Amino acid sequence: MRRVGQCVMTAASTACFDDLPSEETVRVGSLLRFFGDGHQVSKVLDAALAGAAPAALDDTAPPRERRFWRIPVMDGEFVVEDRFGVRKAVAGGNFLILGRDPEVTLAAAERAVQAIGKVPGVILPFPGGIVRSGSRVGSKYKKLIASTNSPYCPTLRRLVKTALPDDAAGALEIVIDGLSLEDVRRATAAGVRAACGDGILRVSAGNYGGKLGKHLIHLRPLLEESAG
Amino acid sequence: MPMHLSLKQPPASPTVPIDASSLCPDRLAGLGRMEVERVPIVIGRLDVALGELFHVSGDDGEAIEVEGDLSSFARIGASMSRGRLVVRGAVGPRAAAGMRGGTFLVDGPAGDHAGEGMTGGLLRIRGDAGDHLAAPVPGAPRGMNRGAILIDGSAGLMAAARMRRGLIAVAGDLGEAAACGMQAGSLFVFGSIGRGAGALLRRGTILALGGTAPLPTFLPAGPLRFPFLEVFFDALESAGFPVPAPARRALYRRHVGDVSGGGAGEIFVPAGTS
Repeated sequence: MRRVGQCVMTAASTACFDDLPSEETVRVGSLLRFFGDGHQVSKVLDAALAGAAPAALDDTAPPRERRFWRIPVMDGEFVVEDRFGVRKAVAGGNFLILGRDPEVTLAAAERAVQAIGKVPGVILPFPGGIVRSGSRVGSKYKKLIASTNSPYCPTLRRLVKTALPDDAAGALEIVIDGLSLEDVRRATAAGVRAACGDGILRVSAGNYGGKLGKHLIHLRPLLEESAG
Repeated sequence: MPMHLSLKQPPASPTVPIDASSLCPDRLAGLGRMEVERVPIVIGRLDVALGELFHVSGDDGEAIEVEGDLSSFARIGASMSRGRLVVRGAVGPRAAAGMRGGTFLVDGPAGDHAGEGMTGGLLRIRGDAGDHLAAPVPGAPRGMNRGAILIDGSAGLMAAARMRRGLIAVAGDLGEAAACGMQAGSLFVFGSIGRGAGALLRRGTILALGGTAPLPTFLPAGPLRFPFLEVFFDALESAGFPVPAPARRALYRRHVGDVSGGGAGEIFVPAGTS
């Protein structure tokens, strides 16, 4: 709910819909609606029609009605579904794009986002799909479990052990959440391929010493496999 | 195999009402052909066996197909809660009255009071509908409360009175005094709506792609695009109900009202029309 409120609702022209039919659901719009301060409006798509709507297609479950909230915002209305389906999945797949200058790096990241958008079963959880404030596990401050990804910060060269090549201007990260490990692998391969091009010096990934989950996707074997 | 009923011959201008509420999957499901032929249809004060009026074939009463001009038959599909009912021809008044579920397709026009007191299911009318579409049951404080009604033609006066929930979509025009006292729900009309639409509207959405003249108690609130409309348009198209391209492209002028009612309803007309 917080992620949708802070990252989706705040972005111009967005709306947010449930595309995961599931028995287990969580409240999203039904809590965010209070941002409308009483001016929010509910719209219900009746079960008789919701069954025909693509987001609810699930042959095994009877169609259920879908409730949406129209929350007034400064560019019009933010439309968000009342509840979202949830299930266990694979979060935090990532790769880093290291480029010669900021424009080239950003363009490469945008190409990757576009390519990953065509892969089913995955989302990019951050606004625009691109992350500039990548993090690493741990911090000098006890209360923080993560802090800035210092090896990839260009301003911290010479101060900490850097992972940036000398001629790199910086790095951008693509974070991928998927319904399965295979979905994340497919998206990673598509994204890395699309990102590569002139001015891109290296594509890497954060494995955080295995501290952030049990799945590891090794980029080189992945690309060799998916090429075959 | 779906049950197939074919009208032997239309009653010659009956002076007595025909209550055909037994033409409904809830009533015929699980019955054999002989039993179905014995199901009564009430004509005036008489019970007439269904088999006297219809040729019956097939055995699955969950899916019924009726053929013939049933414009003098009232209450077809009344209180339907499941299954599928198709009528190839006209239906009379109060079709789908009290419908609660399932799908009812009328391949022709429908009489007055279609979908009266409806609380669920999908009613599709491929022709025109009469007056008082989705009206409340006489004396009831609420009209249609859930469900969807899709009209491929036009409909008459006083549609969607006191509607509480659900969706009505009309491809053609709608007569005067539509959505009078509407409490919530959605009424999408891709033609025009007559005078007095939304009088005493408390909440709910009325869309008139072909325009309407909102009452003075509706306040114009500026043109905008409304993303939630796309969700409903997508659902309509997924159900096989065509949405005109201008409906998606239009910038809508929103009129908020009725300020003499609850005041939280809205009428959308494309910017540039009245």
